[in-house]
Amino acid sequence: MTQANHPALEVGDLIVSRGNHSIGPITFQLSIGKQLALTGGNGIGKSSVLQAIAGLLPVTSGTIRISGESMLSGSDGVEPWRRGIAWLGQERGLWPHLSIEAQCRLVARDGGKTAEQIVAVARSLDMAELIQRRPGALSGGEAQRAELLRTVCGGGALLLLDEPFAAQNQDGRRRIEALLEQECQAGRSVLLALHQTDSERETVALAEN
Amino acid sequence: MKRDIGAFWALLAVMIGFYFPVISMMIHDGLFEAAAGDIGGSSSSQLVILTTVRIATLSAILATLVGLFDAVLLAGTRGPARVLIAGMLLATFLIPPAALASAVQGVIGSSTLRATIRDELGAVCMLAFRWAPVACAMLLGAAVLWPVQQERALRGLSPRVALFVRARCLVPQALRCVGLLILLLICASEIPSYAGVETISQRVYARLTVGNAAEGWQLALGMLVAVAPVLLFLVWKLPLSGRSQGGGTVTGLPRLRGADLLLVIRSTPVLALVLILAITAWPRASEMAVAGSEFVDGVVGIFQELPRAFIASSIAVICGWRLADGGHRWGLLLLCLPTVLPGSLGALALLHVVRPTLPLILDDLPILLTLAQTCKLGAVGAAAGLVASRVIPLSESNSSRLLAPVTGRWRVRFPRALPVLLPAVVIGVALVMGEVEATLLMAPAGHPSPALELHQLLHFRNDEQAARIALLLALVGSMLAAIVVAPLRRKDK
Repeated sequence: MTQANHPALEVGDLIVSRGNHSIGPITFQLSIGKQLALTGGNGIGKSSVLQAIAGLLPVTSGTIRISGESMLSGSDGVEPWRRGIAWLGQERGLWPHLSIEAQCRLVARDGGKTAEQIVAVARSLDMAELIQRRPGALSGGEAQRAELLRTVCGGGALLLLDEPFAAQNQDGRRRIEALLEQECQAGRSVLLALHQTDSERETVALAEN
Repeated sequence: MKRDIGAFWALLAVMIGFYFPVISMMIHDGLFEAAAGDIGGSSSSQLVILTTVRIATLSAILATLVGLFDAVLLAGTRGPARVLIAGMLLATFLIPPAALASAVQGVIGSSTLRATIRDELGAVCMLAFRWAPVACAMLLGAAVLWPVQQERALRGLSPRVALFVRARCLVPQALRCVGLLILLLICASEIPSYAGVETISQRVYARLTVGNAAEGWQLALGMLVAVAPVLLFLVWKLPLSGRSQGGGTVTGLPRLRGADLLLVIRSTPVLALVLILAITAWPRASEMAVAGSEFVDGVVGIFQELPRAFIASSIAVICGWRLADGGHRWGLLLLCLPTVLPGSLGALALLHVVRPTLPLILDDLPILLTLAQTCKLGAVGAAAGLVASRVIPLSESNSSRLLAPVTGRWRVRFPRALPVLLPAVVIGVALVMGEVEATLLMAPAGHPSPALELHQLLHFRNDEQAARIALLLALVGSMLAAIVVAPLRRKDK
């Protein structure tokens, strides 16, 4: 999916509408193997931009290119599962009827991680003991890491993570940072939505108007 | 386009079982030769259409109000009594109307009953109380999927306020219930006939069999025009509502003083009806042996018919869910239409158009009957599908959309939809088991059909045996509901 000549993600003059509220125009670019954070206050539209890139929210105008391919071609754009992305939403999206391991295996079907790699990632997130459990048996912080684990196990080259550090203590945050760094070294790119400005990675600050 | 073609299989049954034979019959009977202005028929026919729509609408509203009341109270109480009460409430729906009316007549006297119900109000009341459990089951089924965080937030409120909030949250689903019930009740003929009210189903059946067939088709089309707004409301407007993810829950709120008492009062008429049936069914000492053998035959017949009813209902519900999950509104509309029209219409068309083309060896199998009944359950499937696809939290649904469509649909969203789909299947099974119109026309010789047997027993005034079969149906249905629905109670308390 990833083409060496193109950035992992190019967003040009993107305008997204959510109800009567319009967000944008926004322009930025994310290189392969890099991390980029969208920052801004509450309600500024970070999540909406991520959802639009994922194909979960309609785009009013602008361009979105993932690995050089336009995602807005056709009447509805490219379907989310064809975009080569992995997605972590702000709200809990774990499927309660499946264990964490089963969910990881499900998303890993299309070019994702192998069973051994899933266990290794779970270990790095301190989740190895918990992946047999269902979401209902996890605490808030564990569920957040479980969802990140599921996201990372998918096959997409671009990770879209909305507030991945929510409900994490220092140790959890450090583990997630290390995992993201590891994924970037493996050639994946990461776009995050964060509340606060982040000094550890490049940021695009969203502001009113 | 590819997406639409992929969902076409969900319409296959209804195309073969309804649209193809019905359109062929319409052409054969000369509907299109009639003037366009004739659709809806004469003024007396228009009066029947109006009466039918009025009865169906009022019954649907009343049934939903009663069902909402039951659902909110059931959600606000806890303990084993809740399951018992839910089972009892469902029993009024599972007992076939003919047996119920006959048993009530037998106990309180034919003249008393007739004087009480012999008008539209009587028909509305009987229909509403028979269908209220369906509304209750639908609202409770949707409520199970309410996100646990919202459920917990309710527990911080006082019990009375929490119940009120829950009732308000159930309003979008209640509106959908009204729409569905109008579609299901529009072709009800059995109960209104007990109240001496002629509905469109009876007239269409009469015209198609012994009268002017073209007029029958015109009446059916007129009926479609009359219910078109409801169909559009059900299929178009509600899926766009973002509020539809609200709902109650069956986990239970802080106990509301008086809720149990209200539920006991609510279930008293049900208990009385079951007792009436039991008294009627109890055999005299001299008939004990015969009654015992008839009872065993009844049990065998019901259990022989159950798998077929389950298949018909499951197909309808899965097709409805598949179309709703893919957002195929036109498909849902096509699926709903056969429900609105009398069951005899589709059955007659199947008999005239499809049956002659089948090999003789298939005459002994109830394939066409199953197909007709599956088509008739279209609205149940569509409504269950709409509710099921809307109550799954958006975050879960979004996550599943990043999987390949087939995986996301069948491994993630379908299992999550089961708490709504399974009760809908049970409702469908109950409808198939009590269905008379298509069964009367299409059941192969010797086919064990409890509904047909009941019909014949009542015709020959064998009320005792009829009451036995009715009780059995209620018992089996309640057990089925308990077996299917009980494991679906949420565990994330």
